[in-house]
Order: sequence, then structure tokens, then C-alpha cells
Amino acid sequence: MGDAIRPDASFAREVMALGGEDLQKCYQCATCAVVCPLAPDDRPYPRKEMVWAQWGARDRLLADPDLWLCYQCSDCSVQCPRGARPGDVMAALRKAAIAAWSVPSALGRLAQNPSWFLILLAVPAFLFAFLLGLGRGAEHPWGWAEFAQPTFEEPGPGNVVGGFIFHNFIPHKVIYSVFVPLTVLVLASFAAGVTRMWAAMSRTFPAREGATPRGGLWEVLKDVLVHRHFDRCGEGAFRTWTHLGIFYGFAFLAVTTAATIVLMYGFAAPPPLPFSPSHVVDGLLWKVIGNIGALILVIGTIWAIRRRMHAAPADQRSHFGDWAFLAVILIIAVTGLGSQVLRLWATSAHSAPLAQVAYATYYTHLVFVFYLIAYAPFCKLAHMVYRTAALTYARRIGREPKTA
Amino acid sequence: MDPGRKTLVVIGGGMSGMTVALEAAEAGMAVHLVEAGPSLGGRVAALARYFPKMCPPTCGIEINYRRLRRNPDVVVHTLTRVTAVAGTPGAFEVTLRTEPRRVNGRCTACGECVAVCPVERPDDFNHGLAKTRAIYLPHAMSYPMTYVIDGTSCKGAECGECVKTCRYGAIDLGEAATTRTVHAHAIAVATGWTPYDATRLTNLGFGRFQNVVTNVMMERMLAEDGPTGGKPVCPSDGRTPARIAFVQCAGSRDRNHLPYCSAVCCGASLKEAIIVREAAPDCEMAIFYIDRRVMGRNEEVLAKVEADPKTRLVRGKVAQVSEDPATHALRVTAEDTATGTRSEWEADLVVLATGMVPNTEGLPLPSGCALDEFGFVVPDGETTGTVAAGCVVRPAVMTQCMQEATGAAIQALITAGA
Repeated sequence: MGDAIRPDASFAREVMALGGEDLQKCYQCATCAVVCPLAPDDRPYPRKEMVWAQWGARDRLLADPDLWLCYQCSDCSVQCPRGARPGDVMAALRKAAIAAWSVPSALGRLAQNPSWFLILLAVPAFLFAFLLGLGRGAEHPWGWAEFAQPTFEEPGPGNVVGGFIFHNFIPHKVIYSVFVPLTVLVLASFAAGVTRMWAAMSRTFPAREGATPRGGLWEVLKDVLVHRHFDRCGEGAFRTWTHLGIFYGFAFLAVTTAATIVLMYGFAAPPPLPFSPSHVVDGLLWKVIGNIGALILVIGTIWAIRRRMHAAPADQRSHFGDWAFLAVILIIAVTGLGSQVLRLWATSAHSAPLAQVAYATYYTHLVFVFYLIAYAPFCKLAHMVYRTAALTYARRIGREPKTA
Repeated sequence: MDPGRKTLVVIGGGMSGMTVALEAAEAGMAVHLVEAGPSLGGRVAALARYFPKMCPPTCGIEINYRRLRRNPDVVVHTLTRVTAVAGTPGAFEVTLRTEPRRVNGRCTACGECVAVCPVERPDDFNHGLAKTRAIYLPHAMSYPMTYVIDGTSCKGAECGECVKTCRYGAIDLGEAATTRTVHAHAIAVATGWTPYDATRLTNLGFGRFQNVVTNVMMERMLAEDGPTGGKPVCPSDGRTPARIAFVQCAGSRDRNHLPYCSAVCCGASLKEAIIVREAAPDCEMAIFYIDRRVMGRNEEVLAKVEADPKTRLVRGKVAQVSEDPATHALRVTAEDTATGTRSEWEADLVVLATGMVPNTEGLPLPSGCALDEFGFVVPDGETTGTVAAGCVVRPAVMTQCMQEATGAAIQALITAGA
């Protein structure tokens, strides 16, 4: 910390481009560091981050655990006498950190560039379109051949539900062949990124002499589950609920996905899992959990979008990454629910055209799920991993948000 | 007055207005000096001392009063407002409305009326830190040295105690307001400033916590003729504060309040710290600032405070003041940006360095006269026939106001063709 700062105007400009455009208005009065309900008394943020950012102290900022102690309630931005919007600068710095630590970081920069959004989305769109074309000549035609003529299965011993089934349109082997390697890559990327960030943090912000560690990952996870600290944010208190909705929506859906895989491969349950009161454990329960998750996700997302449009403090601005993330998860939740409803509707109506609509919806769903997973290490969702890691590091060096 | 002479109307009888009026009159103009209050002297008369020389405000004010007394070319109108301005440069018609003083020139300021007056009113000159009777002397350096009756609190003819007591027949409770129109070749605006309303700084507790005061209140406490006789005092219980926190930029340089720098508050707080030190040798003080904007000779004031071992200068703005309701003790929270430590500092008295708001609201100005986005006058004597001086143009220290007032007088002479 005692070393000289090498000014780097290009990094300051990068932060400004990522949403901290009023950065240079800051005159270091430290109102922000006083009004922040979470900043620790010892070296509070975001005043010091503001001056580092003005100087373009890139290495120091990217390794700063304090970036992740901030939940952007925007109390600081509202009370800033200069309108420098430190809350948004902190958010921009987190974006810069994600882009910098992610592997490969070139993709990190592209994922935060609005003009690349459609190009990155086109990757899964073309990938799935191509894969669906491979089903034409097989014994049981799937993919576009199935789309052209949807198969209606009669209920039988191996299939308690019957009707139009997505497995016939896109077999699970296709989904696995895409998503399993993708997930492995994404996890590897996250692991590499977090390792890089952790090493930089250890180098730049080692534990101070006499600092007492305050637990580690387990304590952080407990905080995350109840959104402790988050709800102490003044201007942004309401946001706790939208974030909880999105968080638990995803959590429920993750549980459903895991249970389905276990049931299908551990207990040979045929897809789709039966949706009837006589099949509670091997079907109904998980459908209910999944649907609750999807509904919470939809409500949380719409609420978050509405808040950003109408209720956010005037000094908190939303940027491309915020809108893109909310749009993608809303589309995923809506197309997920839509796929299910349309499939059931098509089945009960015995309607092939409706089944085609269901297939198209399912295709859209998969494209966006791919987008979300593939670019998770590079876009806003990555905060889930980087924030958790940074909060763990902060606890290890004895740094924690101020308690009320 | 010689009818052939050029006439100037000066609006505002503070130091800047008096200076414009005197400089113009001494250069040959006939001047109407219009003051809304009952006395000349303005904000300066309420100061404890000037910085950097630390002399009392009687210095400059008395010199100007003497020049006024000797100069028949300046007609002073106190308790008078300009209600309308018509005409064009060189031929203005200025309407003046004078409120009744109810005490005439026969008053000798003996003060016997005060002893019998049964009504009290908050003393606005002392920002409510003291009270006066309904008949009162505006302040120790009043010009004219004549008492005045506050029409809103005075009980009028039903009481009449002062009339009975006054042996000079100086009191007329039935006096009415008068209106007159004067001709002017040029107008000078020197209406000065008002302290920013500190109750709007909700996080700093003024109005909620008794021991949070403003810098102008502190000036009165530290003035020899002030309500506490020159000593800092906690308004909650009258005790001498052991710890005083000065909060700089209280509303100034803040887009949510006054976006501009009020120019004098750094020097004023440093000066107040020096006067406190004389009155209370053990008092601990902390001055919380963003920048120390004292330049030129005023740096001597800063150096003196820096050398005081019991006064800390903390670079970091106070963004929070809290109070212990039982003891009225205060805590100010700031980050010391030199050490990167946020801490609470206990104080018995908190002084908010509130800024300057120009007095231009509701002021009738000749057509073409412009105000900037904050309400300050944009002087343009050449085209509008109207010059301006003092803090109504921009926040400024006394020296600068005096220099600019002289400049404004010259501008008025030129624009009036005198």
C-alpha cells in the first residue's frame, strides 16, 4: 500500500465507460464513506476507491476485496455533494474486475460490450439449429424432422404421462453433449478466474498484522442465504426482495434440475416426470418446486426491472449489463414456464401446431440457458462466484461489513 | 441637492452598499442609500472580528459612518425597500416604501423606554440567541443611533408605556408607512446575502439538536457586544463547551444545496477557532474540511490554528451528526482521509459553516438586469445602468467586497455620465 501509484488514464476511462462516467467529479470529501451503512470504520469504502479510480490504480482496484463488500444501495450516490455517483463507480469496478479476472478475459470484455450481445447470442442459436438438423436420418427422427411432424405418444407402462414430449424433439443426449462440456468449461473458467483474483488479493491486500480472521466460506454462505448486510442498505432496501426472489428462484430451479437427473439416472424415471398425485416423490414434488422457483424468478425479475425503471434512486443508473442480465433471466423463466404449459396444452388438445409452438419455445429456452451458462463467468452473473470468493477472502483477513 | 447633478440609488446599506454610496458621492453624485433594516451595517456589523487582522468590525464601519455623517450628498433611507423600478438607464424612477420606525430623530438612545416595555421579541440580529423588547436598538453600532419599534410585537396605543416614559417626545406609535418615488440616473445593487437555511441540512441536526449552531450564530457569541459577551456557550444549558467541532462546507459546494463555494467560511471558522482559544484556553477543537480555502494573507490565520496543539484540522466532510438526548452531547462522524479512518468525534458544540445565498429574491431590478443560475446579480452597468457590489455578485471576503464596491462606484459614475 505504501508504493507509488502509477497513473493510468486508460483504466479510469474504462471505468467511466462501464458506468462510472461521473467519476472525475469526486473531490474526496468522504461523505460517501460516512453515509455507507456497510463500510468498516478502518479504511472505509468507497472514497478511497474513487481516488484510486481517478488515478487509474488498476492493479490495486481489481484486487480490492472492498468492491464486493458493497451492495450498491446508492446511499452514497444520493448524498454525494458532487453527483459523482460512487455507488455506480463501485459497480463499474466490479464489472472491470470480472472482465479482468475471467478466463479468457478477452471474452470478458466482449460480454460487457453491448454491440456483441446479439453475436454472442447467435452462437447457441446457430449451434442448436445445427444440432437439430442432425436428427433427420435417424431411426426415430428428432430435431427439425420431429418439429415438422410432432409425435404424440400414448400413455403406457414406460410412460405414465404420454403426449408430446420434448425428449422427442431434442434428445437428452444432445442436451448433455452441449451442456455437460459447457458446464465443465465454465466451472474451469470460474476456478481459474477466482484463483487469479485470490492470488492478486493476497499479494495486494494481505492480512494486516494482528487482524483476526472472521471465518470463511461457510460464514459467507450463511450470510448469502439470508441476504444479511444487503437489507441494511438504506436507499436500496427494497432491492433485497427482488434479489432474494431471483436468488431463490434460481436455487429452486437448481434443486429441481439436480433431482430430475438423480431420478432419471438413479431411479430410471422416464421423462417427463409424471405430474400426478399418485407420483409424489418421482414427479409431482419436483414439478411443484420447479414451478414455484420459476414463478419466484419471474416475479423477482419483473420487480427488479420495474424498480430499475421507476423506483431506483435518481443517482443510480442502469447499464447494458444490468438490463441484459435481467432480460435474459426473464426470457429463460418465461420460456421455461411457457414450454411446460404449451406442451401440456398441446397434449390435452392433441394439437400438432400447438406442439410446434411448444418446441419453438423450448428451443428459445435452451438458447438463452446456453447464453446464461456459457457467459456466466464474464457477465453480471459472475458476481455470484467472485463476490462469494471475495467475501471469503475479506473474512480471512478479518474484514467484514460494519455491523449495525 | 443640485438639480443638475446625477443621482444614484444604492440598494443595500451594508459595507458594500455604504462604500458604493460614499465613493460615488465623494466623486460628485447625489446618492439615495436604501436599507431595508432599521440600521446600516449589514452582516459585517454582526461579525465578531475580521480576519486576518482580527480587528473588530467597528473599524471599517465607524470610518464609513463618519464619512456618511460628513457628507450631505448621501440621503440614508432605513426601513426602506425598493418596491418598483421603472424607466431606462439615465432616467430611472425608483419607488421607495418606508416602514414606520415609530421613533423619530429626537431619540437620544437613552434606553429608558426599554425598561418599561413589557413585550419581548426574538432578537434577529443575534439569530434568536437573545431577546429584545418591542422597542429596541438594532445593535451597538446602529446608524442612525435611534431606537425602533417592532410593529408586529408592539401592543400599540393600548400600552403606550414607552410614550409616557420618553421625555424627548421621540415616540409616535401611530406613524404610518410612506411611499415616494425618486429619480435616478443609475442604480447600484448591494443587497448582500442571507445564511443558507441550515434546517435543510437534515443530516447535520440543526434545528433538532440545540447545540448545533451556525457560523453566524457563533460570530454573535464571540462578539464582545454579543449575547454571551464574547464566549462560546452551549445553548442547551449555557455551559462553556469543552469540545467544539467546526463543520465546513455545510451546504456549500453541494449540488443538493448550494453548488458553489461560499468563499468566506474557511477563514471564518479558522478565525472563530482563534477567538475561542482566547476565551477558552482548554477547549479542544476540530475543524472538518474538504479543502482549506484561505489564500494570501489569510494563510496566516490558518498557520496560527495549525500551531494550536488543541485544535485538529481533519480532512474529511462531516456527513452525520447525532445527539445524546439526555446530555445534549453531540457526535460528528467523518472519515479522516489522511489516515483512512472513519470515526465519531464527541463535541459539546457543533458549528456549521453555512454558506451565502444572494438576496435577490423578490428584488425589483431594472429590465435587462440578469441573475445567474444561483440568483447572483450579473453586473452589466453599461447596458442596464445598474451596477452591483458585494456578496450579491458572488461570495467574497470583505477586502474583495470593498475593492469591488469602489469599482462599482466608478462604473456608476461612467454609466450615469457624471
